[in-house]
Amino acid sequence: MPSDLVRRHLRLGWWTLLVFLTLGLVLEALQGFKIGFYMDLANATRRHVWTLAHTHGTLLGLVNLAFAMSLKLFGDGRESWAGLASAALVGATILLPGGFLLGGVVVYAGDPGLGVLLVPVGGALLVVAVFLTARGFSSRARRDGAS
Amino acid sequence: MPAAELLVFAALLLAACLPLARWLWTRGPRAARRSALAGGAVAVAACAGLAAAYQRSELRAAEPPESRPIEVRGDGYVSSKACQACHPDQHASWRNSYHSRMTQLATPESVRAPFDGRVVEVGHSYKLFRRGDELIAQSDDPGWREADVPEPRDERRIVMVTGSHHQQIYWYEFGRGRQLGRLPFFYRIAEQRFAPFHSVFLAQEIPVEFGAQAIWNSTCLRCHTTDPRPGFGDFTKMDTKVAEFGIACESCHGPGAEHVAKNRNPLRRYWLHLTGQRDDTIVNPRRLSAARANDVCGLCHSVHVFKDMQTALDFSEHGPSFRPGGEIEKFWNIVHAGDEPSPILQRNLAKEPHWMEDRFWPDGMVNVVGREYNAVKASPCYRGGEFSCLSCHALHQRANDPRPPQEWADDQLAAGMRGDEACLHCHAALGDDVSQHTHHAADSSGSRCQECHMPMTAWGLLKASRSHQISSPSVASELSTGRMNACNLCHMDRTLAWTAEHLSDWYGTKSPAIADPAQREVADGLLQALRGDAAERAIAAWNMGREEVRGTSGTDWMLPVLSQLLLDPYDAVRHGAADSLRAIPGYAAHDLDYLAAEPSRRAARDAVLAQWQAEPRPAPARAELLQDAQGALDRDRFEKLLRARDDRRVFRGE
Repeated sequence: MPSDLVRRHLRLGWWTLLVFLTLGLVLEALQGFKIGFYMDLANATRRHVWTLAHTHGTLLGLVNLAFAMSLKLFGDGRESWAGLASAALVGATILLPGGFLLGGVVVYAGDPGLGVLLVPVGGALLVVAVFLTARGFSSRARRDGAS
Repeated sequence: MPAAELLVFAALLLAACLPLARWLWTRGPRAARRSALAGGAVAVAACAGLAAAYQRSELRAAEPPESRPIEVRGDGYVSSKACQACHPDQHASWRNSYHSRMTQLATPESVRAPFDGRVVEVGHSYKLFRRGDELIAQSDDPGWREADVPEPRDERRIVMVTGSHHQQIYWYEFGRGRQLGRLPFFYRIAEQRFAPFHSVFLAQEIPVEFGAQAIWNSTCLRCHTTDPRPGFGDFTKMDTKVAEFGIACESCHGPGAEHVAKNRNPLRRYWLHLTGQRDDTIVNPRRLSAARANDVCGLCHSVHVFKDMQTALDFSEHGPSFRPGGEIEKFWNIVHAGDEPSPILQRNLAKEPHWMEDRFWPDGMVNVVGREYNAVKASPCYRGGEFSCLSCHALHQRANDPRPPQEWADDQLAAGMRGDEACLHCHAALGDDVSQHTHHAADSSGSRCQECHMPMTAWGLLKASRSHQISSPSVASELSTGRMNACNLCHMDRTLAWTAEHLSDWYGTKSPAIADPAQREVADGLLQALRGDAAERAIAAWNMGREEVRGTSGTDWMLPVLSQLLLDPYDAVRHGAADSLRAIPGYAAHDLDYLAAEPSRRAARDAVLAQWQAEPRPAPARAELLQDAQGALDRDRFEKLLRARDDRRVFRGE
């Protein structure tokens, strides 16, 4: 199972990185060509949430890779927590940057669109994933220390 | 830095240092341990000392000054800073407007005049200089050192500025609480020069109501700040406070505290976004009826006096009782010429008998800029019930408006509203064949709606501006009021009789009897400029500088009269004449200083005339332009008109 998880998160991490680094390029182009849809002061909220989508997506790509590498390097195949942590991390990787991205498509003055409601859900899933992973590796370290 | 923030700061620092301290304590050499301990103690003491000093300076900086008006939130006002986070583009367009900078604290950035040690002579000497970031005026004015003046001294700190666009007035600490005193001159920004107070108004003498002391605290603040509270008290120690300097968001949208508080709830915000319901916690003038929307602007842009004495007293202590969305006439008595004067207006008239004619033409049309509310309400368009200031003006520049912000800010007109679109919106049929209506070429200025229906007859800021009372050209009105009609404001080289004939031929307007032979035989522009009163002369002289007028009427005949107006007793008339002379090719190089001593101006007039006489006259000669058969100036007729000049006292209460 861990090797399946490792492959899943390696795939997800690299593809997420590709998508959100590309989004970064798109945002730079919008900025460079001073596109009003992105640059006008009236669209400051869109600019803000799309920048957040880019940074969160990129960071979550790296987190996925770190998760995969942690399991590969330090796992022993008995991590019962890893399945739930993996599922939560996948959910967070989709919902967090996706919510920011969707929230910038339609904006209302200082408020992003309804898509931004996905962000706190994704944030909660990320917290769950990180908590499970931190606790799992801590237990493992204690076990290794005891033996 | 508040105490809680300090505590968290120290806790974080301690948590970060603990592992290092632990390592040193357990593994480091003995000497290093002692050094670490001593160093730690010194660092903690230094941090504590710095934090205490910082907090003391913060507290000092937070104390409001006692010698000038201050900004204090209250009455539900929260200031424009609270609006910026959610409405960044509206906030930015407001910042680009001149409303936002109407009143500013005096800083090296806000003050446009050079405070570089130069001396301005206006009655007394005023040396203007900087001491660090402070702006100082030093004067030999004995009034600054009289015994009954609080804190008599020859130096005063400039603390407040009015204006940012055309001109600035500078206000100094007077020493009587938050009362301000006024330097007796303006700084004209485009001209980069100082001008005495009376030179900037159409005036020879400034009425008492425009006096130098306490005028800001009692009068200027009413329209140049947001939620002003004069705080007269017993008049010995004024305690003037405002919600915000300048005309800020809440001047037009009303107090924002409830709006801000309720909209902290995201569910409420999204409910409003998604349902499109109006937010009743704030006023949007665009959603008000035309009458109520006009009232928002009318708070300042009207001719008014307080409704009654109680309203005036309440205003002194609590600020204006009017809020956007309300009825202005519950706060102001809007003054209409011809109405029975209210008791407060009667008091004004007893002190200033010319108060009405300083603001209205004899037929009741407003004659000054900045009082457009009265003019709009008197317009036939207003009777339809949908015509408001916002029909043409946009207080926020739209994101898709291609104009540079400065161009929009100039008159805050909505995109396209500078031209005929403003009128064709309702009068679309006229646009199908405009020449049929105007009898002018479709692309000429004679076919522009505003040229004929909003002529440049209102005065203020040393220039003529468009009357906001929509009207049609009328010779009869000019005969009864002296106000130049729209036709002759462009065809200045034509007589009133010529205009009456054309209006009769084209529109069937009954020609009035023109009893005065001069009005039948002499071009109206010449008559107004030579024989009119100071307002008529100023308007004629200024309009001669307009490109449309020069193109229509020619300029050759203007030179003798404009050069003569350099000797006019009114500075404002001379200012307009000098500007118009500069606009005529070949004449800008003359020394056309409208404030120069009389001999210099006489020399300038002679030089202009000499140049003009040396040039060939256009043929044929025209008697209505005071030309003899050879095209030379008919001196006798010219002088005769000049001697008939109307020298009655004129003031424009802009």
